[in-house]
Amino acid sequence: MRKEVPFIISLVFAAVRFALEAFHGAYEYTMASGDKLLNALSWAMTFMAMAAIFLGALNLFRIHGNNIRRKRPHWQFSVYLLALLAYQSIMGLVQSHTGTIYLWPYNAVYLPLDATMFSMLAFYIASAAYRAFRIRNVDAAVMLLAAFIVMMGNVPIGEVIWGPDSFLGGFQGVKEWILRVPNAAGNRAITLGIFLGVMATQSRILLGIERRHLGQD
Amino acid sequence: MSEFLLAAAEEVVARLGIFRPVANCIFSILISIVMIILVYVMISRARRGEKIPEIRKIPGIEAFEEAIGRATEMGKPVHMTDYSTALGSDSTFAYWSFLAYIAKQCAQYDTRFIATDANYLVNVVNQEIVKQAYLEAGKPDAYNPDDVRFIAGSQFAWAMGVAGLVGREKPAAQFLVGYFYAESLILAEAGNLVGAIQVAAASSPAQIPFFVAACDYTMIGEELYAGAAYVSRDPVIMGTVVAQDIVRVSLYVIVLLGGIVQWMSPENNFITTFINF
Repeated sequence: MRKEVPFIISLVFAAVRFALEAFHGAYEYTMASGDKLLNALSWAMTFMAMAAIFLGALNLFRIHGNNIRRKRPHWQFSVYLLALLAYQSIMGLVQSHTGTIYLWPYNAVYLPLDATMFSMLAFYIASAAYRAFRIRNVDAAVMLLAAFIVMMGNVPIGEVIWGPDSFLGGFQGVKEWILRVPNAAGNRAITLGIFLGVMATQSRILLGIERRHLGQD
Repeated sequence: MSEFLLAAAEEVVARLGIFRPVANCIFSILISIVMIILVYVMISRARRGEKIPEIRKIPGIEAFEEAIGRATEMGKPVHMTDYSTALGSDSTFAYWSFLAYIAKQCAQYDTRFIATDANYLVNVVNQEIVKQAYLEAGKPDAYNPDDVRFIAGSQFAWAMGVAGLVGREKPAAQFLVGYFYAESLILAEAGNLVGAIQVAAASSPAQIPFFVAACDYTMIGEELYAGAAYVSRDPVIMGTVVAQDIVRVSLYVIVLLGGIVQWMSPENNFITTFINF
């Protein structure tokens, strides 16, 4: 029963969702309240997620409360976490989500940190590109050549060396051909494969063959 | 302006009386039904012990055992992560197959296994799957719930948390499985800095080049899903990969025919009309 009931619920909701997406009558079906059934289902998902967040917050207090009480290693971070959680919750209730004090930790701490982490990507790209572009075989040589042309097609110096008015449209012309023809063909083949993989996975879940997520027997 | 208002006021008519009047609607439904039937047929054949076509070898899969073996020899942990967007995401289901397989292998070899993720709901399922894998390996006591960690829900907070963990724990093998965004290279480079052997299986086309550049083995796109079936070594599950391949060949034939018809008679391309229906 532990596996059968969740499977039946997921099967029923998958069938309902499929019908809502595929059939005109179901898609347009409006309830007595005036809301579309499709929107009401989306709201139900939002409410479930909210309930999960509430449970998660309670669990967070339980686990980190224990960390502090038992003075486990790095318990100071638990104090920091719970203090911030309490601060944001109280300020959110007092000021709403647009209040300046509520938004301050987000705008002044979180956003700059997030942007800093993102900017580190530039250095990682440089080191990864160095390894990738070392010519070890024919494939790597082709990739290096293609990357060089695409790069030159994107920077002003490329236009100076081999301009768009010259043979084959210069670096820019060849770059556009690489992106439009071989790159697009490869990308579409990968996308088609992903689409089929997704469908096969969904079919397995729908037929009840994939039940790993339902836990142990 | 009045033309737009008239068009907006026009009653929307269902296709064939019942289907939604959006492009590709009927073709998509047809493909979905064909896929479900094929999956069911191939699995039924496998269950009855009848012959199903062999599935192709996926080189990245061979690398899994190699990487876990290396970690075991070095006495270092194995790390696995994903940036799952949601509990019901398809790539998350594929991730779980790999998670169960790798956790079981690690449990069998007494190698420490660390799994990290960015979704609190997915984390609960991960805990359950890893616990079950240790149970199946006959080593339930070796399971440590603290090694199946939720890092952070935010993209870069999670990425930096994982990169920090990789730097501290220095795993000998790292598996990056699932759907990734811009953080892919941060994770792969963090693994590279500690000398970990890295296997990536990603279903995000934009991130595949980064993994190819930074990882030792990369499973591309649909190999993530096929690999998930492959690692289970279950002929019943493998039936789905066969179904997938049959639909793929059929779609390639349709694309080829569409190209030929477009070349011969661009005004009357009945294949494009069929697909758009």
